[in-house]
This record gives sequence, C-alpha cells and structure tokens, in this order.
Amino acid sequence: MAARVKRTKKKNLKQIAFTRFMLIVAVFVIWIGGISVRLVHLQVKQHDELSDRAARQRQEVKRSKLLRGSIFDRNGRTMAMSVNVKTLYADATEISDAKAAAKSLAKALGQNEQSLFKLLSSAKEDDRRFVPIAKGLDETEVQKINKALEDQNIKKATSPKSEGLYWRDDQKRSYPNGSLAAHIIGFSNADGMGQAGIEQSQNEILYGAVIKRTFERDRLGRVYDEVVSEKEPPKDIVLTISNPIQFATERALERAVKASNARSGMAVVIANKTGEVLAMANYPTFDPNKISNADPEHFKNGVIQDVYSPGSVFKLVTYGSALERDLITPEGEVDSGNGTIEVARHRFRDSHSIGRVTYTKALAHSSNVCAIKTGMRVGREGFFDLVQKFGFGRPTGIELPAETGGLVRPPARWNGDSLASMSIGYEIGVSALQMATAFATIANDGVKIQPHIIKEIRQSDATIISSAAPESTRVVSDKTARDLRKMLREVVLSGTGRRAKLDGYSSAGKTGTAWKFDPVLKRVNPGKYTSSFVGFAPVDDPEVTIAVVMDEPKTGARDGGGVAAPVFREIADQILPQLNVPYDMTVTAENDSPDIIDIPESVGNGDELPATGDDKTDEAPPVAGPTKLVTSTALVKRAEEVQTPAVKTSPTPSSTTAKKAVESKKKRIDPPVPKTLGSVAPKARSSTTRVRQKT
Amino acid sequence: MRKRNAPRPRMTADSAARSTEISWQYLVLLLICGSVFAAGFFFAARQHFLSMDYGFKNSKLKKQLEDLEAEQRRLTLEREVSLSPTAIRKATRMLAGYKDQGDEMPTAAVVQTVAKGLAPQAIPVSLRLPIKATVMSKISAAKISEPEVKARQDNSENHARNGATRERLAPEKMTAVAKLR
Repeated sequence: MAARVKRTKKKNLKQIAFTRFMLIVAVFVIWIGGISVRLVHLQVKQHDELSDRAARQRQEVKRSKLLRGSIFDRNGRTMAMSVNVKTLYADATEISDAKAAAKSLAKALGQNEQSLFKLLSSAKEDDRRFVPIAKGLDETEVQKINKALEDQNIKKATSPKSEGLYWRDDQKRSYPNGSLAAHIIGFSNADGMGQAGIEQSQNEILYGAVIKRTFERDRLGRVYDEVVSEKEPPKDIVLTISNPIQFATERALERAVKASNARSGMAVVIANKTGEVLAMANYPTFDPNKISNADPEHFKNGVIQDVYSPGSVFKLVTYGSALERDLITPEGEVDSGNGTIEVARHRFRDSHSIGRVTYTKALAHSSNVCAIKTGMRVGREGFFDLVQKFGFGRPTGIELPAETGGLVRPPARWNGDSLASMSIGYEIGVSALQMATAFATIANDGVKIQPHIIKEIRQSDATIISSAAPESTRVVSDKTARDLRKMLREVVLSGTGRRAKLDGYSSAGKTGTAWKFDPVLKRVNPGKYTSSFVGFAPVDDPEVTIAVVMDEPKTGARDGGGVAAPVFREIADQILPQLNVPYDMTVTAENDSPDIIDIPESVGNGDELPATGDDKTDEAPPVAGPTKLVTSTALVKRAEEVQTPAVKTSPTPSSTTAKKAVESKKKRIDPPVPKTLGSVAPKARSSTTRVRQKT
Repeated sequence: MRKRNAPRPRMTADSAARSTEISWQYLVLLLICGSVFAAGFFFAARQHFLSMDYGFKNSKLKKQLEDLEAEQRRLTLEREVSLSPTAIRKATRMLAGYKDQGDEMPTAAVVQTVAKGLAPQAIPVSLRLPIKATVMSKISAAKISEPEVKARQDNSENHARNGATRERLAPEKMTAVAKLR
C-alpha cells in the first residue's frame, strides 16, 4: 500500500514537473511567436516605410555640379577657370527667433542688422526654406563665419552650428586676365551655361554635370560612408591664343582707336603655316568678371561677326586671279590714263593719276583704275571663282559662335558695274578673319589652312583627347603666291603702306580705305570710312599675318596706311621677336621718322553717272549689297523730290537738271570735312570736284 | 515486436550516477566552442567599429582632399591673376612710381622718341628717374658675396670688359641681372 502511495506521489511529481515545463515552453513559444509576428510585421509589411525612415535618419543626399572645365592659352596660362565657393542660406521655417538670428548674422557678416531682420522675418512669414544671406564665399571666409556663428546650445551635424543656417556648395567662374581675350573666351551665366565665345561654342565640353553624393552619418552626425554617382568629368580646352601676343595686339589696337577717335577697331593675328589664331582683339571690349557692368554692344566679336567692305585690300584677289590665269605679270605694264574709268555708267577714279606703270606699282599706289582694268580682263567667272576659292561668302569654320559668312553675290545677280566695284573691294562684304585668311594663304605659298582657335581638348589629368587638324586647300599656285608677295612688298616699300615697315623684318601687305554703308542714308557715306591694313612678315618666309581694321577713324589720318598700318607695325614689332623669328633685315631708325610722306590712297566707289532717258530701260534693279550706291534712277527720283529752287528754274535739259540735283543732293548728304582730316581725303575730294567740272 | 510484458531494465544507483555525470572532455569542447563563438562576436564587433572608424577617417581625408584641391584652385587662380599682363603692367607702374591712372606709361621707345624730338634736358625728370632708380635699387638689392665684390674690383682695376665681369658672376646673379635688363 505504502509502495503504491509512494509510486503515485512520484508519478504526480513527474506530472507536475512535466506540466510546469510545458507551461514554460508554452510561454516561450508564445513570447517568441509574438516577437516573430511583430518582426514579420515590421520587416515585411512595414519594410519600405521603415527602411526609408532609417535611410532618412542616417543618409544625407547632396546634389552638386562638377567644376566647369578650364580654358588655357597655348602656353598653359589659365584664361578661365571655376572655383568652389559657398552660399550661406537660411531655412526660415527652422528659425524661431528672427531677431536673435539677424543679430548674430549681422555680427558675423558685418551686415546691417535691420535689413537682415526684415529679410528673415518676411521669409518666415512666407515659410521660405531658402533665403540666401551671403554668396561667393571662399573657405577662409566660411571658417571665420562658422566660428562667429557657433552656438553651444545647438546640436547639429553640419556647420554653421546655428539655428536654421546652412551652407550650399556653389561655383564661381573667374577670368584671371580680365578683359584680355574677352571676345574669344566669352562668358557663362550663373547656371554655368556659356553665353558667348568659346564658353558658348564649347559648352558641352566644358559643362560640369550634376552629381549625387550620398553621405551615411552616425548618430553624432559624423560621416562614415560616402557614395558618389559617377559622371563624366568636364574637359579642358587649350586655345591657340598666346597671352603676350594677345596683350600686345589689344594694347596696340586700344591706343590706335583712342588716338584716331575711331568708333571701334579689330585686329587678328594668324600663324600662316598652321592656321592658328594667335590673337584676336576688339576694342571697345569688356571684362567678363564684371559682366553686369558691361555694355552689351561690346560683346560682339567684330573680327568674325562684322561684315565690312574691304576696299583696296581686296585688290589682292583681283591681281591674284589675273596672275593665276597668266593674264598679267608683276612687271607687265598697265595704263591708268587720266585716273578715271567708266564702267556701265559708273565712273571710278584714282586719287591721283599715275599714268602707265607696272602692275606692281599700280598695286603699290592702290590704283582703282588699274585694278578695275585687271578685273575686267579676268572676267566675271574667273574673278568669282577665286573669290570662292579664298573662302569669301561662307564662314571660315573657326570654333567661335555666330560667325558671319560675309556677303558675296553670284555673278547672275551682278550689275553691269559689279565686277569693277568688286575689283576694288566694293559690293562685297567680308569679315576681318576672312581677309586675314586670304593673306595668310598667299603667305603660305597659295595653300589655305583653315583658321582655328582650339589647339586641343584634354581631360583634367592633362591627357589629350583631341587635337586640331585643320583642312588645307590650294587656292593659287606657288608662283602666283610668290608674285603677289613681291607686289605686296612694294606696297610697304614705296606705296600706300609705308608706315608698315618693321624694325629688323621685311613686311608686305595692303592698305584699304572704304566708304561705309550708311543704313540711314541707304547708300555709302563718303564721310565714314573703314580703314584697314592686312599684311604679313617676314616676306620670304612669312610667319604671321596681321589684319587691322579701324571703324570710322575721325582724328588725324583716316586711311588704312595712316591709321591701320602703324598698328600692324606695332603688333608685328612686338610679336615677331617673341616668336623667335630671326631678323631678315638690319634694324634702322627710319621707321620712327614722322616724315614719311603718305601716298594718297584711292578711296571710294566712284560715282554713278546720271541716267539718260534711254538708259532708264536698261537699269538694273537695286542691289542689296552692303556698299552699293543707290541706282541713278532712284537717285534722280529723290533728287526731283528735293530739288532746290535754283535747279527748278534752270532752263537746262532734264538730264542736266538731274545731274545737278544729284550733285546738290550729294553736297547736302556729305558731312563737312573736319579740319583735322589728313592729307588723303582732301586730295581725293578735290580730284572728284575737278572731274565733275570737266563732265 | 516488443514484448509487452518484458521487464524493463532497472536503473541501478551506479548507472544512474554514471549517466548524470558529464565528462570533462565534453565540457572542454563546450568551452572551446563557446570561446570561439564569443571571440567571433567580439571580432565581428571589433571589425564593425574599426570599419566605422575607417569610414570616419576616410570621409575626413576626403573632405581634406577636397578642401586642398579647392585651395589649390584658388591659389592657382590668384597666381594667374597676379601673372596676367594687366597685373604685371600695374605692378610695373607702381614700381616705376606712376599713379595707376591714365593709359600710357612711358616705355623705353617713348622716352627715345621724346629724346629725338627734344633736347635731353627737356625730358621731364619724372619720365627718366623712376625707371633708373628702380633698376638701380633692384641691382643694389641683390646680395653679392665678398669674393664676387673682389672679383669685380679686380675687373674694374684691370679695365676688364663687361663680358669678363659677367663670367665671374654667380649664375643666379647673372639671371637676376639679365631679368632686370
């Protein structure tokens, strides 16, 4: 019995232990089950929401732009580069006490407290989250401001440790040389987009892409991991420009424009053998660092964007086409007669009659009559062919924006006198770069090399990605180029370009003085000139071609030989030694002499002769050329409208009346000749008067 | 098939004691496993904190690198600004004692032109002196060692040519003089 009781007790104890054990297990199972359910709920159902919250808590995403690519000159000098700057801004929604914030900011930045308070309180009212306080600050300034703004009570991962204030990374574009080569470099806007020059044309290469940076922070705000989205870094551009040459060119041009009181001036220097543009200057200019203060009219790069009538400089093409077709030789003779020539009721004149001379002499004295005769011998097609071969009428393809192609009409649209006008550089519009390229072609033995301004494009680690490979085309034969060089040399030695003589170097070139087209008068204005000189040096192995164009010089000599040739000389004298070009002549002080007697240059496109009744039917329609005189019919019409009483009462036949009216109209239009006018214009004027009296 | 009535083997006291006794090998193995397990956790934690630490250091270095690069760019820009022709011209004007106003600074060529047109005494002192004074002060500022001074004196005594004097000058002085010229 006792044993049975004992066994039962033992059995009960075992049972109790088992039950208790099972209870504990059950509790554990329920507990773990509960946790598991919760975990499943958190990790499956609330996964996205919670992971986002966690990421927000520890991650900081910043979007910033890579620094825009730099622009260098050929010697590696920086022309444009971007630097990191910071902007201090306020999140007005986070600022509790605007007055206290304004006070501390005013102290740190040295700004007016009241204006800051106004700014912050108005932003707070509008719930603005970005209120820029200070812009364009470098790291040193940032550190100073951080120190000044530090508030011990604020627990913040980022500086400044002040309520509602943050820094934003920005970049600033700087042009260390100021206005130097401003028209080439251009400028970019606040968004880092190029607006002019190389900055605009090469924007895709220079543009710094936007990158995303993800920072992982611990609970104290310390960054322990950083992920940066990969983007292609911007490239750097190396130009063919040389800083010292550009500076010399700009200085010479500036001095000349100021001295001659010209409206503007432009100059370009090209390396003949490579087609590299060594300098390209315009005056007036601007400083891309202070773009808001600049006059937008000065942004235009006249060297490639302005179209002008080249005048006598274009005789290069006239004589070139004749030489190329073996129609003339430099030593061959041409008769300029009494210094006038009539073509299709249009009388062209020389400033002075030079009689029977060689073609070399005719070019040296810039005889219009001889050039027209030469052009007429070549004929329309032959002349137009060479004009096209030289590249007039289409852009040169230089890597700058908004380049003009010039104005060249096909022979089908020419008038009777167009060939004559074009032979002396009228009825055609060219850019200074086109004209310089034509001369560089002659200097380079007749082979035209496409002018270019970008030498190479490279990565930030200086690995070259692409280099310039300009096209080269033969325009005229080697012999023609040699002959032309010889003829152009004579222009400097004994012709209109004697002020282009250099010290220690031989030089050659051609002067040009053209009447400007007046958009108000709708005809060329004999009181306004475009004076130019295009030349190269040294003559036997020309290294550089320099083109100088002065727009409306008003003081002193106004012809190309008097205004532009000295600029050519000043530039060439400075840059040839810089380029290590060996002297080919002995240095003489002759060039400094102010006693150089200028040979007057034939200026102007002559006069339309009055139309007779029969002629009127043959009259060609008005031409939209840049320098075309209004046709005689139109002129007669206008003359009738403005007839003076004297003309009205005149008993002379209608044609005479018309002629007088034309002359009276012209007298009325022509501005008075200033007393300071050089020797050239008055001579030309008196010559014109004499001829009129004869007729 | 097991027999239902078959007697179960009785557990004696000895066998019961033997069965409850845990062998020491088992304990050692358990200890080792536990240690490895704990060491693993410890190692993992250490690695984690180490990686965090490296992360902090890495990000700090990155920041420093960025700051230094930015500073380098800023300094490059400053150097370029100070080396720009305009800045050099300004500095030259200041050295030559001209106000930073007006367009023209008389260069050698201009002085020469003035000299041609006018008698030498008619050239304003302001056009001549500063250039000379600057050059002289620059030359005197260049330190010349005693042997060089001696060599110069010898040369002057012997009426030696300038070329001979130049040969005796230290190369760095030669460069300095050449630059000034």
